[in-house]
Amino acid sequence: MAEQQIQTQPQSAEHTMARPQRWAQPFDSNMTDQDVDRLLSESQLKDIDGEKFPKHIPLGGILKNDTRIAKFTPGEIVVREGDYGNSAFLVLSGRLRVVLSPSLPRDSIGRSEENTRSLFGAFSQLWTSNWLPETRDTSKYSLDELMVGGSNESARVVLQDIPTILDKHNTGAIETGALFGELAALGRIPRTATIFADEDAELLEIRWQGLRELRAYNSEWKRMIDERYRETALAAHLLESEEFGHLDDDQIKDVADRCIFETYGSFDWYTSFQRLRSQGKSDEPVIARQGDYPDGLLMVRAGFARQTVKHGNGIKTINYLGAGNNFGLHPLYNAWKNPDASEDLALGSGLSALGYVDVVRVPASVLAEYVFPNIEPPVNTIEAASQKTVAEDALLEWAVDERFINGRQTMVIDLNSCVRCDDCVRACANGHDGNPRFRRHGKIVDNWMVANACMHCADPVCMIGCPTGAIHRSMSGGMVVINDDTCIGCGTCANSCPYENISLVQIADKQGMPVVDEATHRPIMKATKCDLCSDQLGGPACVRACPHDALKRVDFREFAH
Amino acid sequence: MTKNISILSIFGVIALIVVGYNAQKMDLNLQNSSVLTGYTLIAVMLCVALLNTRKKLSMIPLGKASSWVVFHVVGGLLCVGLFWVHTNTFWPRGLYEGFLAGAFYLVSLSGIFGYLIQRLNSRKLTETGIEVIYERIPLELREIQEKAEEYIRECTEATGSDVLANHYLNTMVWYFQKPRFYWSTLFGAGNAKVWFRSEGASVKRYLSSEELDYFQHLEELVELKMLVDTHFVHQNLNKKWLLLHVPLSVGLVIMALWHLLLVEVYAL
Amino acid sequence: MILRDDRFSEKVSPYLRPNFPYVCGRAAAWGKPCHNGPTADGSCGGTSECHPYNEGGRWICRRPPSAGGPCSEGPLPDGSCCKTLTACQPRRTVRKVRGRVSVMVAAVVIAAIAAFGFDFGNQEQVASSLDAGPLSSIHQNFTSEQGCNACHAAHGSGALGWLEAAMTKSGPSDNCTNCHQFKNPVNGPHNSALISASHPGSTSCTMCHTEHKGADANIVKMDDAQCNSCHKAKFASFATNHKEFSETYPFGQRTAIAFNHSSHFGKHFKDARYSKNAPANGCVGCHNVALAERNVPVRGFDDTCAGCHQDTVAGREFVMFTFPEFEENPIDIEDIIESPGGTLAAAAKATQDLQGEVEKLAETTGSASSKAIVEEIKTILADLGDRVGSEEADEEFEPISSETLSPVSAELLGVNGEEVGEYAEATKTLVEGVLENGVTALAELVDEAGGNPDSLLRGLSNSTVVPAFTAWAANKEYEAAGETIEKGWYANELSLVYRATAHGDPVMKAWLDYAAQNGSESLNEAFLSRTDGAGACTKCHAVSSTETDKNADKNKKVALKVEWKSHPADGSPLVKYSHKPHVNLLGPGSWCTSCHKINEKAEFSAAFNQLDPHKFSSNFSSVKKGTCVECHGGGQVSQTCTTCHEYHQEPGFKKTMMRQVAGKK
Repeated sequence: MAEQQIQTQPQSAEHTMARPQRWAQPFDSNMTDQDVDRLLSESQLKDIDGEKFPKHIPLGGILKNDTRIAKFTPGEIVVREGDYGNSAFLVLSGRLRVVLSPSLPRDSIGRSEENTRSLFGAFSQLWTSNWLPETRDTSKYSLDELMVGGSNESARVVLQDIPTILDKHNTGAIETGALFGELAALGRIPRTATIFADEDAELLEIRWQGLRELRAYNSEWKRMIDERYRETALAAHLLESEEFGHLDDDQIKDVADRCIFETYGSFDWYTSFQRLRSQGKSDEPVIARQGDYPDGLLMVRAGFARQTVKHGNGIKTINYLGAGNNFGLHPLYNAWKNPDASEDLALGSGLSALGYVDVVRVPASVLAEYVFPNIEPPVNTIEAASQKTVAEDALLEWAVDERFINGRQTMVIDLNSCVRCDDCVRACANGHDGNPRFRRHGKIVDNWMVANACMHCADPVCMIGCPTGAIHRSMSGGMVVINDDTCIGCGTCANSCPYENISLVQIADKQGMPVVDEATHRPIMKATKCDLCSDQLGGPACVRACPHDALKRVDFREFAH
Repeated sequence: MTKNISILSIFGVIALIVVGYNAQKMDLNLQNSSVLTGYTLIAVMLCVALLNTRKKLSMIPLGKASSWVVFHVVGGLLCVGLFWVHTNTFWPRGLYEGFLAGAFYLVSLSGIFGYLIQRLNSRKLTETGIEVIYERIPLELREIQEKAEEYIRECTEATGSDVLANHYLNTMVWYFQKPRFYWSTLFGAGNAKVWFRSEGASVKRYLSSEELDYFQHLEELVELKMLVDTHFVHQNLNKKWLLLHVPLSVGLVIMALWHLLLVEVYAL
Repeated sequence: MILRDDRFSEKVSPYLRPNFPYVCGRAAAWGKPCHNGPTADGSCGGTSECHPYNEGGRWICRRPPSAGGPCSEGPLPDGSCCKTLTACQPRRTVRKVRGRVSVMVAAVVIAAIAAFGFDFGNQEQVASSLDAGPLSSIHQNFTSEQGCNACHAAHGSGALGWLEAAMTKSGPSDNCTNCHQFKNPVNGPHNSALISASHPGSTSCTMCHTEHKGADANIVKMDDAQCNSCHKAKFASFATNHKEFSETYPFGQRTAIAFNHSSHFGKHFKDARYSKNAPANGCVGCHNVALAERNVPVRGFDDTCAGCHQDTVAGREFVMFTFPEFEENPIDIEDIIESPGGTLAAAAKATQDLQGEVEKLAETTGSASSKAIVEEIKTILADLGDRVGSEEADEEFEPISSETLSPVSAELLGVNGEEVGEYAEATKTLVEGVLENGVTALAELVDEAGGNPDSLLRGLSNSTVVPAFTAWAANKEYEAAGETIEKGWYANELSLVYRATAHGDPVMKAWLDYAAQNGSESLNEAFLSRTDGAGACTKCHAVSSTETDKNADKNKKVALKVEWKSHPADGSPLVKYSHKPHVNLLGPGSWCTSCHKINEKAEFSAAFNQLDPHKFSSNFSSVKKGTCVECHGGGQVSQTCTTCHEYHQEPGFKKTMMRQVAGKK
């Protein structure tokens, strides 16, 4: 009876395929069981207790599907400074070299470019674009040589004249057994340095999903990753900062040793944010409290923090700090300059974490030793900021509350200019095979609407849960894009996005027939969102298409100010 | 954008002066200035008409659409100037030229009208405080009506009185069915509000305090619907004026090309 | 949707597709749209709310969250949706409608142009998409028959003709000269060969004259600025920029009639003797302002000069022939008589015949007067018999005349009238010729000398000539029988004389013209001497050289002309001035002197003593620019170039046009 019912289902109207699964698209389909066995015998991996891993994510499965073995010859670049990468590397054999300072020139490291369409390719969309919504060429989902999210092996560049590089640049060696690249992979930040092979080397490349599992189920890896994470982050961060940039290696090491590295908020802050927002509550971990006496300079390394002052019955946001900003310099300087004075020594404002924040706390003694003698008295930013009226700060307050400060390419529409013509949506559809990739509605403040289009966040939390790494940072430019070929339509990213900017769509084949799971006839879904027209000529089509200059893509950090 | 229009307008005025001056110089030299002004006019007209094509070619980097619109506005106004320089009159004598001029003025006026209402409507829409996508307005109205009917049902169930339900069926349902008071809403007159005060709220004196609570909800929905209606009429006008402007432009271009052909055959 | 808190959720609000050409028909009718939406071909997207899927043998609803999520009823046992709707008829979006309307408008416009542009039948068309506007009414008159082809060659020439016309220069200018004509070159500036030579640019009619501007349009308008575009001397206005007129403006030469305004107004008209004859209204007494144009013509002699000068004109005479002195009798009278056709003999015969008739008449009637006539005839016959029969050949010749040959005859015969030796033979031949053939002999003589006998000898008859010549041939003075009406031709004593009948006598004028054109000095002395007789005509009528000084060859005899008629001042062909509006404006009569002031110092008469008409001194002071500027200098009175200047030279119409005009009437 049930069988008959199945047959009555109109088969002809649907297109069936196997439901994509995690690991349906392994990182490297050439990985064999022998490779996995070999890896398990390597010194760095043999101590891992496979028993601790859950049954559906066995250690062998992680190694087979989330890693690959890559061989590099001398001079070949492994990672490039500034690239966004989603994998970490374990040196199985050989030695690598990391360029510390100064950075290698861009052209020598062969900065990879995104593939953009040719002019004709762009033009041809006029007739190749489809009236049928969300059609896909389903044949490509079954091919093996898919480009998967993560590093692109085809774009290797060999450095020329290595002796000169060694001569002119500060470099460090990375020996066998070392782990690197986890900072960028887990922190969703660009690579901080270029690393190339010094001799023939064999690396285990672990995509961040695998790294996440290793970190979650193996305490030794967790300790190693966290420790290395702190160490590398700190050194690089201090060197980048205005205050410590002038110090030499030994001094930096001294400072780094004395710094305290702190993390506030959870790595996957968005879940609590969504939950709390739905309950109308706010849970922002306090980093520093207004009126306390500071014991060190707080430097924000990643994430966002809200700087607040008490105002009436509430607290007023006067600023928010992102990577590179620091907090508390002014009172610390005053205390150093006038040890006897009593005023201006306490913190004039508080700091709380918006989501996940990495903070470096530099003790006052370090500042007194290395920094204060060399600088002018710092400006009291609080004074200037508290001059502003509540009304003037409303946009900032709103943006912070809604976490729009995360956005770097946020679509804002000036409703006073917008004639609601939908040209932006049509232009978007024209560049995406007839499918829009954003929705022209969203939260409104004053005359500004933040449309539901991907903001290409500084901290793209959507990437956190993706089981296949289909959602990733593009290699250059840092746009967050989804690899449609590897997306399994699980909806994790769409659920993670705090801004509702990822849409799941039901796909159809080229004839418009819905593509469904061959087993259950459930529709196959794909996550879709704005890709900032990364493969189109001339940047985001929506901005160019707006006939009244109403639509902008803005970095909210600048816009809210 | 207004600034850009102002800046480009300077160039437009300069262009008009250059063409006008040269035309006059040609006239004085007993040359046929109509050739210069006519070809300039049709060239600018065609360039201006390309805006629609640009919208279809959004995937090619052809510059910002807003720049095109600025050019469209200034070029369109320049066309009016060129038209007068070309014809030397407000209304030409020939029957065909009369139609041509009529089409030209209609296109120009509809363009100016469209530009103005778009600028005004944007602010009016923003002032409603809500944002509704035009295509979704039927759905929104339906949902508002369903919500209203839900309140009515609840009210009837909770109070056992059908006064409000009858009033809804007799009077209120008319308002919820579709956008009402189109022209009044368009011109900002408060006919909808007057209607609600005089007819919609006429039932209040017969309601118990419990029913009045439900009526309060109903009133909120009426106010929301007024805003949606506002969106409907203004967005509708924003789209419909092009229904005049675009087809007329097509006709105008064809008529102008025929005029050009006639001139080339008969007079040049 | 705005009622929902989760309205921005991707689950609730799927992508909207404004690029899609259709919207749900239910929504268009303000019903509740279904979430399936229309399909790309405009059909309903589906009547069931979801397509349930099968999991583990159970059908599960998969209605999307945007449509309310899985329904409570769940799918029907056969796996179909429990909620079905009737299919709607999707509507086109506003954009799609706009596209279709655009196509329709394009089609309608093209169809209308085609329908009204091409003459499918031959019936009159109410309207045409080729109509460029009404022609000026005058052109409309002349082109209505031919239609557009009158000017536009490409009209009705088919697609290829149009293509060719579009590619080539095919304006209507070439066809203007089908009706209009101008001094050549037609396409040169000002139709002037002189200007064209130095300014070779070609002009065309349509540069200035454009049509289809309405029935009452001014199609000949020309601005100062247009003149300025070619002319190097740029004009802001007449008052400021126009050069001063020439020193003698508006006079280019002396007048045809030597009427001295100065002396007449200054002296004669004040003279009590003549004042009653003086023109009553001043200038307009003689100048006919009713006909004022560029010139204000002078009224005829009879209305003007005649008041005083009538008598002196009538009675002027000249001697055509004088029978001169001979040294010996030139004519053998016998020969003449005996000659069969001799005039004398014929006369005698005729007289005898007449006598017989009269005698018979006298006998039958017996009237006294008849007898008296018979007696008279007898006397004549006796006289004739005497003369025919007289024999004087051997006698000493005693010439009756002691005159010289008259200058006119001498001129005609080509001899010196003073020397007997030269003229004797020629005169003898002439006299014999006249005796033989009458006036015809004189006519032949005039003809041979280059004159026109029809005009020069008009009114001269045998009855005047023959008796006189007969008498002179007989060496007798001629005495005209009976009275002599001394007007016109008459012979007297030894002369054949012409006496003018009135002013403007044509024979007199013919002789004066003859003298002016061909005359020798002596002839000119006789006719053009401004003295007595015929010559007195030239007291008033100027005698001018027909050639200008520059071209005159000193050795060559200069042809002269007598200026019979008052002529207009010959200004530039491109200048125009009309007295009429000015006279009307200023009032008649003495107001002429507003501009024309008599210059008493001018030596007016002296200029008529020589032949060159351009050496003159006008009675009037020249008109200066300032005179014009007095009015044509302010804002209100026109001072454009075309107020006084013409563009075209000798504009006119082809002769065929006259037939057309005649045909129309």
